[in-house]
Amino acid sequence: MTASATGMDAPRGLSDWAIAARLWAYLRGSRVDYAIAAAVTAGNSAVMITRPWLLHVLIDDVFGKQDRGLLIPTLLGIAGCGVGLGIAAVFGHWAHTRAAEGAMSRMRQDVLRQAQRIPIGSLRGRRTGDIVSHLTADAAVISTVYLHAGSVLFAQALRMPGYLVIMFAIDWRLGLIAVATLPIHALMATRVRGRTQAAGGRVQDAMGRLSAVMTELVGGARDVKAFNRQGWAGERLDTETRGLWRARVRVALFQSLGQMSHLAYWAALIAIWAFLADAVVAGTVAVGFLVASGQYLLQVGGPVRNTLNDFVQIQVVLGTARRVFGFLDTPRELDDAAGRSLTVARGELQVEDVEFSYGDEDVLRRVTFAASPGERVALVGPSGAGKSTLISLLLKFYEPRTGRIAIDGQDTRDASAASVRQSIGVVFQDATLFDGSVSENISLGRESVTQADVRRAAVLANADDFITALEHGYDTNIGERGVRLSGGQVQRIAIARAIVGDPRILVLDEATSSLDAESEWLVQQGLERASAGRTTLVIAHRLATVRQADRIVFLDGGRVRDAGRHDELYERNDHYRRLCDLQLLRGEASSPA
Amino acid sequence: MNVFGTARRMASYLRPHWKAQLGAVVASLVTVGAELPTPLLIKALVDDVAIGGDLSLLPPLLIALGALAIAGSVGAIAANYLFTSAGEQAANVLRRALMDQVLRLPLAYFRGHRTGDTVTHFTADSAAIAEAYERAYGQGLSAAISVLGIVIVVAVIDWRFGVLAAVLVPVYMLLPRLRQGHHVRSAERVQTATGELGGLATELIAGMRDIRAFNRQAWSLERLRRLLRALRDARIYQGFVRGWTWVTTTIFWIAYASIFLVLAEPIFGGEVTIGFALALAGYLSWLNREVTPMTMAYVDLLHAVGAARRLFGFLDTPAEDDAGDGTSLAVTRGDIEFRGVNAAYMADTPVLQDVSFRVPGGSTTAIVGPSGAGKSTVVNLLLRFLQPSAGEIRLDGQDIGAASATEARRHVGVVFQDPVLFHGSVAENIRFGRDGIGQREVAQAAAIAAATDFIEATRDGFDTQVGERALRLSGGQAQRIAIARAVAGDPRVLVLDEATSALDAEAEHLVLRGLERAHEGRTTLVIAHRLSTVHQADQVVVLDAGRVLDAGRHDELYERCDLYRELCDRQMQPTSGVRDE
Repeated sequence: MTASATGMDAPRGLSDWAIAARLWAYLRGSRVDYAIAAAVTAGNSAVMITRPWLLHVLIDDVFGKQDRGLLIPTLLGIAGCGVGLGIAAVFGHWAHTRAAEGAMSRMRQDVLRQAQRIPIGSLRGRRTGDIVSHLTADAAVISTVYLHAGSVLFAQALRMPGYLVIMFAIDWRLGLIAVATLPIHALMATRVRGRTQAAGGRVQDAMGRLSAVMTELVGGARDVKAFNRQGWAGERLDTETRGLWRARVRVALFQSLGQMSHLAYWAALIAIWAFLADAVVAGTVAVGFLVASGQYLLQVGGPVRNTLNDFVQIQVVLGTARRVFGFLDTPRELDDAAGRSLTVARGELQVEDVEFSYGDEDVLRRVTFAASPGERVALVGPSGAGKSTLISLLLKFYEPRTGRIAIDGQDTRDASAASVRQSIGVVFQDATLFDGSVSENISLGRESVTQADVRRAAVLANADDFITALEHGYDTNIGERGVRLSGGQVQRIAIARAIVGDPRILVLDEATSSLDAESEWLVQQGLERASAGRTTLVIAHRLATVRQADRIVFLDGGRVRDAGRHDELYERNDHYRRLCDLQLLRGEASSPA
Repeated sequence: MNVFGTARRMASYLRPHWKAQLGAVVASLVTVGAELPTPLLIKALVDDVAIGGDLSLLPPLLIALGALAIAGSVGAIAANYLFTSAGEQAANVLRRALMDQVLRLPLAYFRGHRTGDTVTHFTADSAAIAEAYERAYGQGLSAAISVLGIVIVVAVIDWRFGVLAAVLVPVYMLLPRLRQGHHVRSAERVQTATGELGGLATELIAGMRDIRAFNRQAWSLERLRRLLRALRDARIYQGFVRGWTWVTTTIFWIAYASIFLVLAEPIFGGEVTIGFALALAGYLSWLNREVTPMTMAYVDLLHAVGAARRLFGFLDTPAEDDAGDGTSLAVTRGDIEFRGVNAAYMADTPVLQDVSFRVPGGSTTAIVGPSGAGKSTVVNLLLRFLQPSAGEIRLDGQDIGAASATEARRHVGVVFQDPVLFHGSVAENIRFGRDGIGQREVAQAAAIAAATDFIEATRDGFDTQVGERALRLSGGQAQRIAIARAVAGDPRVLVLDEATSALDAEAEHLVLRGLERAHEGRTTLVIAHRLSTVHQADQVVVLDAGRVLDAGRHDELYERCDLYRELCDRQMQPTSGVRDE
């Protein structure tokens, strides 16, 4: 089976440092912004270190020694510190945001690139919601590390030695007391680390699940209402949000442990007074020193409280980044661009002895058939026969386990997926329309495709008439938010999309199965014209649509049971006849005559 | 809605959790009460112990400091916990309200809005508001309490500084107030871009097969990149707007310096002690420490208002009118009657005009017509997804418009062309049709739908998990589970809306076998474009351009109705060749 790694079982193997190094790597390209931010933070630290010193000068020199001349410069210095801090904050904030957004933009693009490369089979079900949340909620959490948590920790690392040096300079006992508080902080930090990461990861998992469940419930609102299951839907939501609440509250609890650090500050302050009061009274230590040291302790202790908050936040980020990197590290399908480029001129298709299995379930066994240039071949068989799997192999969504698929005699195994897909135009049963205009949906942004090409393809696909009848013609917005098109119209746009690049091979995977008679007729006309001069591979369960094929390949249970023209098969193959009769039994009754 | 209206509405969701919120406020009061005397204790330490030389005061002062610090910390931890808890719960109440709205919105709403965008109301938007609950209504509130306490204490010490503090606070608050428009706008821009991102991400991930098949990876990356640029610009703008709030730091330090400037002469003259000046400065720095989060809380609130506007805009979208006047319907035979029904999704484009037909209880009626004729609208009306603009729809002679939507749907089981199966077991998905039925009824429903064989062939039988969009089941299997779920509630009326059109011949055959038994004893309304499924119907209603063109049995209609004959012929023409052999 495709081992789809969910957020829960993402590899735990990445160490915190490895994650941190990867987070750092995403700053490449925003280095200038981050350097500005870091410089501002460092300047900020310098101001913070100077300030209590100014206070000490004020108390001991200005007021203690009655040096009036120093008063104004000292006060200007204090006010100047404020101006500096204000400016630093504004620009620091700006630079941090720029750096963070740059990094997150790169990470999000990596997530999408990865989603484009992992095996297509692992993109089913809830995985979609999970990947969407990597792009949205997870990224939002991770950005906080770039926004401030990272640089605040950096700033603290800068400040801490400064504080300690100054405190030792004031009095060695002061220094010792300050140093004594550090293990308390360190102890708390290590205690909460693992659990906070887990809690942070749980919050994001809960968010991912919420997003997946909501995608399901919003997408299925019609069914919920039709069966009066509103209460059930609400409970489903409540289950998820309860989990989210529990995880969030847990994180909050860890965050408030920073308060404990605050207690360490008070303990140190009390210790200073207890030890130094004698010395002050005796006159060996100036009052100002004591006051300034209280300020310094506050700087060590107070921001350690904030640092601890940031530290907790960083743990949350690490937990979240582990989810995202876990996804980025899942094995990829194949590099679409790697491999030889095919040159396809005729459109000859050979499938030789192809075998394929999903896990231990064999899907295709020794499948062999060929299509000459311009030929129309139909793949027919009951559901589960392996028809769609064959198309997936042809498009290089998967590689056959053994055997060979060749286009114009060139093995596609070592060809790039991109060049294989370029030679094949495909129309699926349920084409996805993207948010955008009709012409964007046909060209899908290919630079080489001109407006005239789009128009030509639409004419061939029998779509030009209804498109020009739309209010804005080819510029009409379609897709989830745009004008609603009928199934037949969507399929005709899908056909235009498939042939606009003029591929030699056209694959129709149940292209008309879900249409009503009238639309099918219109689409069929489009297909007729679109497939002229191309090798066409048709999968259809409605046998009427494949009757005229040059050759019919009858698949059952993953094997080619028979191949030939319709009438030959109808004569000699019982299973094929049964399949035909199954449809015609009902066809006969409603036909005239 | 103005900023305060929106803020009040946000606050209303906190009401159910007022106990936690109140507890948090009390805890904050404890913290403030513990912290308020601290600068005075420091003053005593400086003036009386250090300068005055009274060492006997040292132990009690230090013990008091320690006790207050512990009380303050415990209060702060409790407050943080309770504020977060209340905030997250309030956000969940809001999410529940959003869910109700999703389920009450007319289905047409989702035609104009991307699923992913709606989902971000539950995730990003709600998270932004939860944060506001914690910060603005939580930390902001406790900061405001502190600020009030500080101003009072300072005024008691020296009324002049009380005035200074009292003036400073509004100045601080004025700053974000001046830039209020920017704050709200920047937040709205960020949340809108985030919503767009959710929508685009869902589209790109769900459409991945098509993207790869057409080699459009670069194009989809470019689309993402374009949106990310917009998001980045919005966030940088927001960062810049927020950054200005820090100017308060500058104001504080200037005020701090001016305390000493004003007190310089009295200190030199010995009228005022240094400890006094320090205590004042201490209160002022504390004021700054508290006012800054208060201003930030205000800013957070403004930013949450941006997110909330989007949310409340969604909540205020007119919902489906589904209340009725509470009459319940007594349905025994299952007669359906449409009487002169007009219907429209948008006021100026009628979809159905003067549609009348009757389906006697227990019989089967098929509705056919070219696409756009209004067939699915008939189903939407019967399920009360849409209300007729004129005429009425009757079940056993009772107008369903008078009953609630829930009541009307209770009597109708529906099978859609593309049923959404939900993540869960097969049994849960069948039970979806009627809550609380037992294992036996589930098995019975599966048997009616001819689904028992394939369900039992799976490893876990009825406990097999099926996925989000039933991706792991074949179309025919999903459809048979959908039939089982439709008959699980034993409704009098069964509606098949293109139930077999997406299936291959064999699967269709199996599903039709399932349907045969499901029909028994029920009134059945079949919408189908494959006329093969229609010819056994007791009655065929031909719709064209929203009007009933004709109604009758298949052979009668084939004789006399040109459109019907054309529909039949067009479909049969290619197929008939096979029989010629």
